[in-house]
Amino acid sequence: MRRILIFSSITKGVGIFEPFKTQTIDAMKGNLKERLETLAVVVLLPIFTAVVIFQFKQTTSKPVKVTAVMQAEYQSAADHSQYPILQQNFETPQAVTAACLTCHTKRDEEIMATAHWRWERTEEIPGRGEVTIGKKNLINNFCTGAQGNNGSCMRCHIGYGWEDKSFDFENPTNIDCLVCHDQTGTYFKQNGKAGMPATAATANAQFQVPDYNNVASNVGLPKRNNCGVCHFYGGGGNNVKHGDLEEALLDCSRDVDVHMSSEGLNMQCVDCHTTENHNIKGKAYSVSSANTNRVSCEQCHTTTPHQNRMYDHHTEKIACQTCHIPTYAKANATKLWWDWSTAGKSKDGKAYHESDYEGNHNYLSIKGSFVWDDHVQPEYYWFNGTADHYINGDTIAEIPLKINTLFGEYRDSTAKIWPVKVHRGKQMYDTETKELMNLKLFAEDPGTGAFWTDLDFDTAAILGMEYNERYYSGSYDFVRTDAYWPLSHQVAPKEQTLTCTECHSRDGRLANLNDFYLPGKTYNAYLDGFGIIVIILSVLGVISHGIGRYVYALRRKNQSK
Amino acid sequence: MERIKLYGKYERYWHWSQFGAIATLTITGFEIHSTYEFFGYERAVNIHNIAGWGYAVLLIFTYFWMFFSGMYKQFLPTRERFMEQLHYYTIGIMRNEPHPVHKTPDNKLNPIQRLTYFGLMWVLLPLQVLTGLMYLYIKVVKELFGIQSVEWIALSHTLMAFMVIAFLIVHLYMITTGKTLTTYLEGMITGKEKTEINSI
Repeated sequence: MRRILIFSSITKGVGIFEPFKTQTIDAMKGNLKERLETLAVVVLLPIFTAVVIFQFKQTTSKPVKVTAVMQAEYQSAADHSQYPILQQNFETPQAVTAACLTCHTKRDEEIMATAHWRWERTEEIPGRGEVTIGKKNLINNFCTGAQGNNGSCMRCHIGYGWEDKSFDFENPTNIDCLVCHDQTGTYFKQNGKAGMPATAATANAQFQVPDYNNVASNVGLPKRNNCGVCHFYGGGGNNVKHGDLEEALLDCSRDVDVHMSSEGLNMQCVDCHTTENHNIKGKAYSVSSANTNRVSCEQCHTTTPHQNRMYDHHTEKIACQTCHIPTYAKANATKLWWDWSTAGKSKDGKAYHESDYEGNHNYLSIKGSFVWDDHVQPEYYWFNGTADHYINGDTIAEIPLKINTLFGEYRDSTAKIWPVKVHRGKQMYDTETKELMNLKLFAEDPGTGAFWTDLDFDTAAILGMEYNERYYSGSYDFVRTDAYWPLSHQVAPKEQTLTCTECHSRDGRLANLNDFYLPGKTYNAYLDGFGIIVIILSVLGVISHGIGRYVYALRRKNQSK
Repeated sequence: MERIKLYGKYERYWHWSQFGAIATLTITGFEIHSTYEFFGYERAVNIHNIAGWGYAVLLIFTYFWMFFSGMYKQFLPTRERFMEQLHYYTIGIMRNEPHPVHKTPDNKLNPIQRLTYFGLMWVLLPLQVLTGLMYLYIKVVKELFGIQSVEWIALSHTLMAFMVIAFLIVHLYMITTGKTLTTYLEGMITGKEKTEINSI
C-alpha cells in the first residue's frame, strides 16, 4: 500500500503520468513495472539533471594559477670577488677557465658532453638510423654552413679559438665559462675571431680586452642576455633565424612575451630551460632530431590547465603554442626569405646593400635577397618531436628541398599541431651530384677566395667543398629550400589567444591540414549538397501542396456561390 | 464538432521541450558546421553540448514514459488504411474529403504519421543523440572502438541534421492541415482538439 501511495503522489506531483495512471492502475499491484517506474522518477531524473549540471559546470571554470620556482632567482652562496685565484693577472681567457676549474671540478666534463660544446649529437632519426649531426656538419637555410667559416660562425661556440679542424675538444681550458656566466654585461667574444674575446693585439673601438678580474668576480646563472648573445643573433643579425627569439625579449611588454616580460614575471631562459649538470633542457629542431630532453609548457601548466573540458581536450592534438602564439616577430622583423641566387652583384666593383622601407636589408651583395616581416602568422604542421635533416650526401629529390623535416601526422598519436616559422629560400647545389654545397664565405682578408670578400660563387664552392672533404663537379645552380622552425616563445597574454574560428572555419589557419576532420572547417561537399537539395525539395513540396489546397478551396468557394 | 482531450501534460511538455531542443541544436549545430555565424563559435558549441545532453535526457525519459504508459504502441507502423491516408494527403485534402483516420487519445497518429514518427523517434533522433554523444566524447570512443577519426561520426551527424530540418519543414506545414489552419497548433498547446464526429 505504501509503495502505491508514494508512486501516485510522485506522479501527481510531477504530473506526467496521467495516461499511465488511468490505464494501468489496476494491473500494477505489486508488479515489477511499478518499481521500475518509481526508479525512473526518483533515481534517473536526479542523475540526468546532475549530468546536465555537471556538463554546464565544465564550461565555466577558471584557469589554474601556476606557482613555479624560478631557477634563475638562485643567488650564489659565494662572493667570487673574495677568491684570490680570481684576482690574479690573467694573461689569457683560458687562464680564467683554469682558475674556475680549480674549484668547479668535473664541470668541464659536463660541458664537454653537451651539444653546446660539441655542436653535434648522436640521435636516432626514423628511416635513417643513428646519425651524429648538429651545427658542426649540417647545412642550414641561412649562411648555409659553419664548417670552413669558423672565424665568423664559431664566435658562438662556447669555446676559445675553434679556428679550424685542429681545435682541441678535449682541452678543458678551451671552454669559455664567462660567455654564459658573466653577470657584468661587459664580456663579449670578438667578431671574426672564432670565439676569442679581444686580446691586446686585436682590441679595437668595439671590442676591448675584458676586465677578467671583474667579470670572474661577478658570475652567476645565465640570464637572458647571456643566452641571447648567440640565440638572438644567429644567422647574422637580430631575429634572423627563430622569429620568436630576439633582443626585444631583454626588456619587452607582456604583449610580446608574457613570461619574459619585464612588466610581468621577468622570467629568464633557464627558468624553463631547466638545467642539471650543464645539460640544458630544450631542442631547436633546426639542428635537433630526437624527442628527448625537451622543454614543455606542462612543466608548470600541467596537461589540463584550462579547467574547461572543451579546451583541455584540445591538448591531446594541439600544442599549447598553437593557440597561445598567434603571431611571432612581434617586436622586430624576422627573415622569411633568403635567395642566394641574386648574391654577388657589385656597384663600381664593390659590394653594396639595399634596405626595405622599414630599414631591414632586402639585398646584400654578399648574401643575396631577403624578405623580412614582423607580426607574422605562423604556419601549422603536425609535429611529434622528431625531425629529419638534410645531411651532406643526400641527393635532392623533392623541390622545394626540406632542410629539415618535422615528423608527424594526424594518425600519429604522439603528434600535435604546432605553429612553425617556415624560412624559405634558394641556395647553391651541385647540378651533377644533386647535393647542397658548403661554401667558403668568411675570410678576414680579401683575395683568399671567400665569397664575402671576393663575391665569386665558384671559388667559394671549391674552397668550401674542399674544406669539408666533399666532391664538387664544378657546375652549380640554385634550388628552393625550406627550413621549419617550431615556435615556443613570444607567448601572448591570454586575451590574445586564438579564438575558435581562427581554426574552426572554412578558410582558417589550419586550411592546409587536410588529414583529419576538423569541425567548422571540414565538410563533405556531396553530403552538404544532398542536404540542401532535400531541404529545397521539402520547401517546394509543402509550397506546391499548400498552393494546391488554396486553389481547390477557391474553386469550391466559387462553385458554392 | 466536439473538443476532446488528446494530449496529456507530459506529451505536451515533451513535444514543446523537444521542439525547443531541436531548434536550439539545429541553429547551433549549423553554426558549428560554419554555415553562418550567430552565437559565436564557442558559445554555439557550449549551447549545443548542453542542449544535446538535455535532449538526451528528455529522450531517454520519454522512452521510459512510452514504455510504461504503453504509448509506444501508437508509434508502431501499420499497413491498415495506409493507402487511404496517402490518398487523403495527395488528393482528398484538396477536395475537402473527410479524414480517413479518426484521432482518439489511444490512436493519435494516422498510418503515415506512425511510419514517420517511428522513424523519427526510434531511428533518426536516437541515432542523432548517439552520434552527438560519440562526437562529444570522441576521446573515449576512439579508445573503446579503436577508431582513428571523428569523420564518419561527424558526417552522419550532419546528414541526419539535414533530415531533421526536412522533417521540421514538412511538420510545420502539416500543422496547417487541420480543420482550420490553427486547429492542430491549438491542440498541441491546450491538449484539446476540435475533432469531427467520426463518420465511420
